[in-house]
Amino acid sequence: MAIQRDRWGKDIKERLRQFGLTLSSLLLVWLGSGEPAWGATTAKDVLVALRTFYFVTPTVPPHVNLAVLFDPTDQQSLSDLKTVMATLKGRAMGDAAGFPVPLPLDQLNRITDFRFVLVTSGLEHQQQAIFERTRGSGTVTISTDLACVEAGWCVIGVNAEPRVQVLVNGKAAVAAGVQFDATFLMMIREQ
Amino acid sequence: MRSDLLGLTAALCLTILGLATGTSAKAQGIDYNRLETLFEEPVITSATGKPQRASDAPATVDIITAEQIRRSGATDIPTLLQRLPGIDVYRASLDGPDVSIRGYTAPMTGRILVLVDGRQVYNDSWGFISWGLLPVDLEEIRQIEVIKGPQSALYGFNAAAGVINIITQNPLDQPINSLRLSGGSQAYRDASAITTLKPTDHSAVRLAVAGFDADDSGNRPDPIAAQNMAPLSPNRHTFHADAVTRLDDGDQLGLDAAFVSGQERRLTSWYSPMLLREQIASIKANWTGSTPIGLLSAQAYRNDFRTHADLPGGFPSGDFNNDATVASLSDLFKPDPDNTIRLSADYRRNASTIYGHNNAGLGYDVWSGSVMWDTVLSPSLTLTNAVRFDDLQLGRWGPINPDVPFTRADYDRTLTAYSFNSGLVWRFDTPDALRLNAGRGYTLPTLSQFGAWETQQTSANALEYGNPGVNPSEVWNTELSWDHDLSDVNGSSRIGVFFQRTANIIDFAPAIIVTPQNQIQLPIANVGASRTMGLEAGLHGKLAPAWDWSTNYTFQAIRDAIPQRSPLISPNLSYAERTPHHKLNVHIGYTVGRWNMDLDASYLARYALPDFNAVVLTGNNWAETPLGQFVLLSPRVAFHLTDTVTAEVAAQGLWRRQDLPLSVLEPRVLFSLTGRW
Repeated sequence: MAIQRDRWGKDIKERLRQFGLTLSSLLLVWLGSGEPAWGATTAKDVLVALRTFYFVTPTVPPHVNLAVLFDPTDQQSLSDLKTVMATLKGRAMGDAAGFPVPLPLDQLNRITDFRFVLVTSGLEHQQQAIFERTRGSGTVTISTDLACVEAGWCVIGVNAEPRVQVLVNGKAAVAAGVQFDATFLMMIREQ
Repeated sequence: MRSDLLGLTAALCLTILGLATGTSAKAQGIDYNRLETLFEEPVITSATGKPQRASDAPATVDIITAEQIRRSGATDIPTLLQRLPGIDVYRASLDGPDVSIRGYTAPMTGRILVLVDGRQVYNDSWGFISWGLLPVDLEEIRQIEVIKGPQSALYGFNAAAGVINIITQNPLDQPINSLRLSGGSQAYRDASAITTLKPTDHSAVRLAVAGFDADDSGNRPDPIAAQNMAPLSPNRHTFHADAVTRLDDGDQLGLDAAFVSGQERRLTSWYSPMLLREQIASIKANWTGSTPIGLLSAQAYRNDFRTHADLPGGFPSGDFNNDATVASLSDLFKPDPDNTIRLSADYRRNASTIYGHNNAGLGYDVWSGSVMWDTVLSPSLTLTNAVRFDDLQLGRWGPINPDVPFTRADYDRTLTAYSFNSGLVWRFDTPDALRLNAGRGYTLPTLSQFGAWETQQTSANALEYGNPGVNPSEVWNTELSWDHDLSDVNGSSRIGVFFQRTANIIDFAPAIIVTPQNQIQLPIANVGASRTMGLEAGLHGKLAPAWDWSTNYTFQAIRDAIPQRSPLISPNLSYAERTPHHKLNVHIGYTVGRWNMDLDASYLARYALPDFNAVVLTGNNWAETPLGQFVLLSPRVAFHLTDTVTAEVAAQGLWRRQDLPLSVLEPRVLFSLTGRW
């Protein structure tokens, strides 16, 4: 059978074989690199959480108090509180706006004084009670624990790593009396 | 016409600003800048019609950001596009480039759709984009979205090889105030002034004026041009106004108006140079609102192209004018958390005068309907499907050249096309994503190919004419790509392969007709098919805060199935040889103190293009001229004199090169001073 050659006289089959080898090598090198990064509640999570506030309607004013609901007896919860306070302390009101206000669990009755409440880790057993407290209040509960959102006890869940992820529970939002910008809802995962 | 447009512009501007007066602080519109800050990546609407993260798009999308534009040293958009994988750019002069996506570069083909903020900027008369005469200054651009593969299911005809959507900044969210003065080799002079006015908190208007001129003689116009036409150097003068207001309920109303005049040297479809003097006016109004039935968007615009052409090879000089009026309405909604649907209806009226005959014309009306359905199959798997039908009614008015073998009834033609896109995105627990998609799109014959070109070559008794019976060219595309996180170098990579088939390629018919009067007739026809496969790979990252880098590589091979070619016009219609097999781009950027340093390098493997000079000057048969196999180096050094003023020196295409047989392109060195505040 005649060998097919291109305009520069090269054997087309040989060129395809070489190309295939090069492609396979590149693919192997490429697959071997990269490593997923996982993390718990981080400063980046806090910033992502704050950036979602803009998409709650009606529009949030530039300066907003963010209640940080925590359990003084739970180390995980205290750790989250520390992260939030350190992240937002003295932060310029640029791309993310929020003044953190620590709110101990024993002051849960004050929760509806705030439009935004960050529910720290370690409050798994109180999440339903928190949700019941915020029902119809317009208060937005936000957590880095996506299970809280999936269970319908929190309105917004965020994870910054390894890729920014925003989860909204539509039923929890309706129950809490919270509305979002329509464009935002097109771009996030809804439960 | 232009005075009508300007009058209408002024009236609508006043109306919009009037509506905004007294609005309260409750307005909330689409704010792409905040969405991008939230998701830490570009947000696009070009792939499906819904706002989405670029990494979620069910198509291969490349983004050129405002920061990349600012650090590119480029003076036009094709220079930026050339640095992307799978994009080829050939220049007939300083200005007047032709751009293709995934090969098949040829002048006047219309395989890609180019939009400025959703408005088509395609001249349908002859099927080209005047890249040098776009009404938008680089300073105004927020990002350029390049979607590869057929997108006709969303955009209709001509989005066959891909879509380039140039998105400008929203004057409400990102006011621009800038002044730029540039100068350099080839007597290049450029200036632009942009200001944004905010009469209220919820309305803004951006006004931009810009212009450039240059002496193109250094780029050695080919002998044919020198013999047949007066020298022409490119220039452009533009005015652009973009007004936006947000109403109490969050709805957004916009008005955009632009006027451009200028001249450029381009190639005809048979690779001869021509000189075009153009005046382009456009006006667009759009409204977006959140309603109980979803996000409604309405848009209407009109483009008005007035063009005078000087052609070589014994063709007469003449005018051709193209008017396009487009109206569209779409509704985007989520019936449940896992499904998003977009319904759209479009109307397009497009008309052109017959070349050189203002009393005759040809045009069509197109009615279209489309549905896009995006469904979340699982948290890691998303499927997007889109279908569209276009119903076109062609018509003609005025006298018909008696030598053309068509009657008016032949032009009264209806044409229906169905296009689709389907894309599956599989997302892993990491930022990695695998995409598989397929689509079918159409390239509509240009109005000239339908019949707005029926021109007698005076130096030879030859008549070229369009054919109302010619069918749209059809492009099938399948591709698989993988985005992979490279967290070790703060970057990411993408590798993809594609297979594409083009049927019903449109060109001059292979059989020449010789009439009893010895007239040679060259009609347009569908001449054959072609297949291509290719690979695109890209990497980008940061080595340290000061260093950023990116590289991309493209391989492409084409196999043509065009049984016979027209011996006089396109005997070497070989897309296989006109597309380089290999292309490599590298960018390195370094920032230290007030200095930015960037270097872009491009390697292009060999390709070959028809040599028009060989035919006309020597009387020989058409020949393909080998080109390519060169490296383009484009360095840039910028120094921020103050927080608002930047001085920069940039070079484009160091070393002479030849993109096309007809001219050699000289390197360019440019100095510019830009103030941004």
